Amino acid sequence: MHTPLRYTGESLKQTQTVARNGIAQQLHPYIPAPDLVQAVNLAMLLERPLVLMGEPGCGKSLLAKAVAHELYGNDLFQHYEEWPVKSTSRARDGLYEFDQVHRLRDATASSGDVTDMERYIHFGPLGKAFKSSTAHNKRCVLLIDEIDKADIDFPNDLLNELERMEFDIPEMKLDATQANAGTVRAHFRPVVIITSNSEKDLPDAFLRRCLFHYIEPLDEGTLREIVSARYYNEATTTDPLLDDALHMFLQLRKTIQAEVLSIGKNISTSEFLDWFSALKHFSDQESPGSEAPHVQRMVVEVEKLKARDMRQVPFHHILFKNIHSVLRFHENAGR
Amino acid sequence: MKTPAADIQLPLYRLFAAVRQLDRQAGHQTVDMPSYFLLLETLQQGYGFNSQDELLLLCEKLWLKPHHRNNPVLNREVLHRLFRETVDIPFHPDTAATAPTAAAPGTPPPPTYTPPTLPPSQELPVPPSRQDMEISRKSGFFSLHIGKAPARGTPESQLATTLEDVLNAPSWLLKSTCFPVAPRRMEQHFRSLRFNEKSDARQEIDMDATIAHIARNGYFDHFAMKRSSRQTTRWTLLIDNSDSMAAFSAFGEEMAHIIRERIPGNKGTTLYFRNVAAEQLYTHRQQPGFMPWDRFIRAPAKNILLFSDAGAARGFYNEDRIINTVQMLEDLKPHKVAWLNPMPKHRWDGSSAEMIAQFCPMFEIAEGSPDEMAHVISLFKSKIARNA
Repeated sequence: MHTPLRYTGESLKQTQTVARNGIAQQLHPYIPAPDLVQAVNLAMLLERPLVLMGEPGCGKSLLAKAVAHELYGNDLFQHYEEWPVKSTSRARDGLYEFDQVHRLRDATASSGDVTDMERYIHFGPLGKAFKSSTAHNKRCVLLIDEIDKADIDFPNDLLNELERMEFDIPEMKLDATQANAGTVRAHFRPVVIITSNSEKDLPDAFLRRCLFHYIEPLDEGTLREIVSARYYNEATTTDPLLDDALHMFLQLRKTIQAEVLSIGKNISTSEFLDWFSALKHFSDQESPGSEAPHVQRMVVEVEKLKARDMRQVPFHHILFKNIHSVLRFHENAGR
Repeated sequence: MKTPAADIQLPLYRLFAAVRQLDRQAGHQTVDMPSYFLLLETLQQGYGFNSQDELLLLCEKLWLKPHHRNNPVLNREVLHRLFRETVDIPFHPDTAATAPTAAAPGTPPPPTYTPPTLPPSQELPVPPSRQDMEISRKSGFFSLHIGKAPARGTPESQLATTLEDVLNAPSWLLKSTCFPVAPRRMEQHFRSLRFNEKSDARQEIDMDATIAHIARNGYFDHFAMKRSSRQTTRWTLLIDNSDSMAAFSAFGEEMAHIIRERIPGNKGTTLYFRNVAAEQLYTHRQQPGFMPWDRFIRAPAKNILLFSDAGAARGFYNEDRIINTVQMLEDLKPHKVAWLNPMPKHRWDGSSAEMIAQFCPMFEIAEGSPDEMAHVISLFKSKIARNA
């Protein structure tokens, strides 16, 4: 029996730069709540997929990379697969695609052996995850992102594959010369993280094979920690700008939550981070006099934050995404 | 000496049984025996014995699913309360120390547990809902959970904290989720009647046939074509919008929404009537537009699902209604018709519904038999088979 893989949530407390296909990519700090850490560990212990739900922008999709980073460090992308589900996605897309057109061209031009089916198989993210999970300590982390976008039958079509951790390729079965041809098997179960925005219900048969966790909106302490790590490279910062921004954000969230029926969508963590990014950028500018006029206007805009007035939210376009919230909070709206 | 596993096994099974019962009452089947065995196997691996919180988290992650969030019957609060009541054994360092821990490398996997069998006299833990459900049953709403619908955005902590609170809440709003047929299951049922309809005009490349042709002739000269097809359904909903159906309007609208929005390519529509469809049908609940009855019945054959209490809510025979309804069913003979009655079957007795059910296959939406919808589908499938 293998020691279960373990996730502590400690590895990605600072922004990291890792290479993906030779291109540098930044991984921003991911600070999970303790119950999320426990849910991930349970999913890895029980070897079950973890279904994550929560408000859009709460960090569901980022978790998979954070887990992969903790398990594999800078080599994470060698053990990480991502399947962004679309409304047209079919379960087979995640397993493999059979390139009929390529085979047709080869058949027409007599340019290749059309009986060598392997040449025409392109594995999807799930197929790649099965193939790459060759050892206990090389389990692939697979993100099936926004599964609710797909057709209602999509999760049901994945049931067998996720449970048996193998699938057949009928086209390969035609090749009788190869033993065991046509069956792709995962020797070790990948770590499967599935996200959903609850646009469609997931079937009971699918859910009972998964663990479920709902990511609650982050509290002030965690938000402070994330911003400090991402924008200040510190454990906790004492910048008054952050105090004002956090105060405004939490106040807005609370107000929208109370009036959610009339306003609609609440502000998410990712929107807060974008907003703070803009605030920080312009608050770091030189004194207003030395800048171009449009920059000066932005700097003055940031100053509004000090008033902590919900009707004077700087860069409100980043936070408010519908007419109801603009009318509710923006002082010049409707004029 | 009893092992901690033995101490905890019976309480856990009682907890599992209660949670599974509530899950069924909430209209789902996500809490199953394999999840209980998995719980025990996880305990054998040493997880869950260190504290009550750890064990509770394990139960929560295994049994609570997305639909249990804000569900009035089974939710996080209810599970926590049941856990506190059921799993009342002390957790201390000794327990953790003597708990079956993760096996050493190379050792065989732990034996599979068999579920503890309870003596016949020892009843499974009965959630406090039972009495309330009995009361509901007597009052005729046996198949429905009548609960307080939480306002959107209500924090979980402000929801009723115990099952008793939930069931005693003085509210009579019937949401579509209160019915034992979950919207998702309805959607699946409706979709299961899909069939491939070949298009006369559109064609697509038949790749397999093309390659087979090349293999046969040794050269490529043309693409083999085939008629393209698309999946379609023929659902038409006739919803009774009379006063006695007011309590079930949310359910009817949910069905209408599913047929309208979630069944791509459905060649049907939703129409409304009051008590009996006669001269005209309404295109909207508030009746702004209408379709003449004659035109409706002369249209190509459809699968028609009637959603009405057929007078069962009134509880008496109404001769006019019975005669008019029989006439309506006579008019609908060219089509395949099934009747979905939201009132429980035992309430049909002694009412117009009892008589009408003799003229049309009538089904209830009942607790414990959510597959009534499947009977509707079987009926319609027989139609498709005959047409084919």
